[in-house]
Amino acid sequence: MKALRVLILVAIIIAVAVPMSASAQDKKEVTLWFHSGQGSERDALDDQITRFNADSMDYEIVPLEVPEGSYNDQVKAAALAGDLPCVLDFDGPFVYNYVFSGDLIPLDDYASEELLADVLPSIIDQGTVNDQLWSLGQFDSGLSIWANKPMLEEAGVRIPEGIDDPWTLDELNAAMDALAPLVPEDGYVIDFQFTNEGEWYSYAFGPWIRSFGGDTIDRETYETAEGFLNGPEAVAFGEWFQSLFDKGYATATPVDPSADFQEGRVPLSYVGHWMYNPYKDALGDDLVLIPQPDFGAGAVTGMGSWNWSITSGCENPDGAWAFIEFLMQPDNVAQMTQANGAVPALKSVFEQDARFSMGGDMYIYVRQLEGGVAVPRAATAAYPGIQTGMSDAINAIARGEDVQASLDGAVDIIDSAIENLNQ
Amino acid sequence: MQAVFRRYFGGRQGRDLFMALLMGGPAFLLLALFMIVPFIRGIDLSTTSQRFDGAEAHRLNPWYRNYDQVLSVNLIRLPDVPDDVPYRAPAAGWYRATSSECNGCEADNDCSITDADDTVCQQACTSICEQGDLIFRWRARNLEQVGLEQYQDYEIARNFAVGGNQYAIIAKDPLFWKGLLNNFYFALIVVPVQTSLALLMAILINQKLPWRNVFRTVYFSPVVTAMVIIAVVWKFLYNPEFGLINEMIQFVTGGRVEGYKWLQSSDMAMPAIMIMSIWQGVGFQMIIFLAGLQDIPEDLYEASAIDGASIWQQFRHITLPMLRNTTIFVVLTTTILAFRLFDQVNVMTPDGGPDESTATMVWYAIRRGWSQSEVGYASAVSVVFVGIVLIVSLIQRTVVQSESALD
Repeated sequence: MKALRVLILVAIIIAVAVPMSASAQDKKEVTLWFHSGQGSERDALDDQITRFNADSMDYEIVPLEVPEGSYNDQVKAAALAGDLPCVLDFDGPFVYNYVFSGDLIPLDDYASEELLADVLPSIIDQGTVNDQLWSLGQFDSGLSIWANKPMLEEAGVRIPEGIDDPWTLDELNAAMDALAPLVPEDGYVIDFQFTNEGEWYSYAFGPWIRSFGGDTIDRETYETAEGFLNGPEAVAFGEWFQSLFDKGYATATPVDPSADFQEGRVPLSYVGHWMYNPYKDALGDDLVLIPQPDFGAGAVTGMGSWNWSITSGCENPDGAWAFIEFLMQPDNVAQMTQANGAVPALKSVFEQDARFSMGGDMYIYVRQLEGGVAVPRAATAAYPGIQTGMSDAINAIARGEDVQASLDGAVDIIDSAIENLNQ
Repeated sequence: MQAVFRRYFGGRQGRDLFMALLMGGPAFLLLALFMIVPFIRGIDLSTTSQRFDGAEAHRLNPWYRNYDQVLSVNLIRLPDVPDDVPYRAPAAGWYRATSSECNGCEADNDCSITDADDTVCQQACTSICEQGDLIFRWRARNLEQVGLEQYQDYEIARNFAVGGNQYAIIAKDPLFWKGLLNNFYFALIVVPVQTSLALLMAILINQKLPWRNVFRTVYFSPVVTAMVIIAVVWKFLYNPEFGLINEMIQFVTGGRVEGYKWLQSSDMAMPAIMIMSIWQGVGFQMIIFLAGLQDIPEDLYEASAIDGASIWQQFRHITLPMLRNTTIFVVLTTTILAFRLFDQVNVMTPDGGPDESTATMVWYAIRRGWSQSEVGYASAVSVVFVGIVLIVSLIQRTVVQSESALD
């Protein structure tokens, strides 16, 4: 009995003392927050943090993983409480919000011209506010329609070669009409990922509204959404979109839409690059990427993804930059994009990657980003209002509510967010 | 010091007071720390432009600006509905909501252009289109076109017709009022239904039936399960296409009833949440009623049985009066829980449901304060909400006291 007690005591002393001696080196701590996204993405980052800590003589990254669902809200709360970490990642459009609030420091003095010359222009665009660069990401997002090739061929639907010959609205409608008889009874024609909450709806359908000729906000002044999100063009989008649900081509209440696509119950899936790996595993060579359709005003897609910044309260900005620079090394960018299927942020990386080269599975993503199809999300600190308004409106339209009234409601939300910002 | 102590806490009564304060101390402290201090801070924040994202905040001018926004309501008469209601929304004014069936009808070349003379086709088209709801389009900057420009700060909360005239309740923040009404709607249905159901179940499992402990456990188990988990499961059960509930309705009615679009229709979304909430919460009230029932002395029933009282008379004149205090407790707590409605709404209808039919006060405060970063405004919403719940509780207490509870 006594021996057991001694044993426990010794165990406790070892447990307390060993980590203390390990961290007793003179490395400066740099705190870091990141969102816990896909498992593979997380593993890649964990590995990169471990390697950075092992290599670096001066700095020790102390990471904290925060659940993705409420990540942005938690960061906002920490900003208010003055508890932000040194380095953090966040989803593209929030950069305006954080810059507006004075939470970040610009990266211009740190980033070398050599590095910036290799970074995708869309990443620079996303991180630039008021002519200064505030954030850098390892990857950009790709968004268009994933399709089941044999089903398209069976329906006799043309598969576009690239971004120069996208489907028109009529062609997309005809394709869906032709696919409808082929889908099994428990399937549907096109998946819109309606199990998502939050930002998906503005990221995914903002570009389509723009392609119809509308937009989510006045991009000249950023002072109102009136006439843009509820004008005749946006209404035309809404009525077309609603008709897909009325015809049974799409469902607003899927249980597991990605599984529906993977198991051949749905031939078309409108989702971003993050489903590439699972879709490729399920469909193999039957998986084909369809470029964004041209709904009348040219094809438009979304862009922007998670990226890194240094906060203004950071005591070791040099250490923070050392880590971001480490992340932006070609090997690390390649490791990350292998894991999550996103478009590498470095030209030198995607030029080596067969998936993003001519004829590769995701070459269309690169062409969309480089060819001007991709448009950044609205550069305004009122973006949370756009997110809420779009989520409400797209869901309401899918449920069958009046299109004009739904879009008017979204405009009211966005305009009141803008007004409260200027209060 | 000692003298002061003796002055207040000397003697028997004083000692009692001292003990009472000592015993109550931790509770008062926690109450102050987690309720009173944050509430006072909330009142302070509600007069500022505080945001969640760390942007600079300042005192509002006037300080009650947020309250004005939350509380401003007005009843106005809308312009008359024109004889020929357009299907395309005007800049402001009346139009008719169109289904996409109707949109197809209008655009259908067969009907409206080439066969313009085909009156049968056009009549069919018109009748489809005329089924749409009348909607008054309210756009602040176009209101002068309909002579309502003095209400530019307002939005429409609800419009209705009385004797051929159209009226509208307008508010500066209609979603707040919708949420408040939804809260009352929920409480008004859930409190009586849940209370009576709980009483019924308590009486049922208070009988000396075999397996009654199993039933007690079964009825109580939803209470100990986390609401979020239950809400996720019920969201699947309510799925209009694949959900178990619609499958069961179809099976029982032999396919004559198609099932409902539970969470996707503005009529059914709130009832769906009510059903699920009652199912989840009823076990708790049942246990309290059960405790109350077991406190009723058996001899009362024996005596009344000798006097020839029927089961109903026993229930009406013994069980109900003896459960009076229990019932008061159950009704009060259920009401407060009903006003707190948030978890299930946020999981099952995160955007507030179709036509905001499941938006509630707490949901709204969190949406404004947390998702949209407007902490100052959300604080004002919360302060008003606390005031309303306080008034409701006070009214309930007065009603109960005037009927004098048994000690």
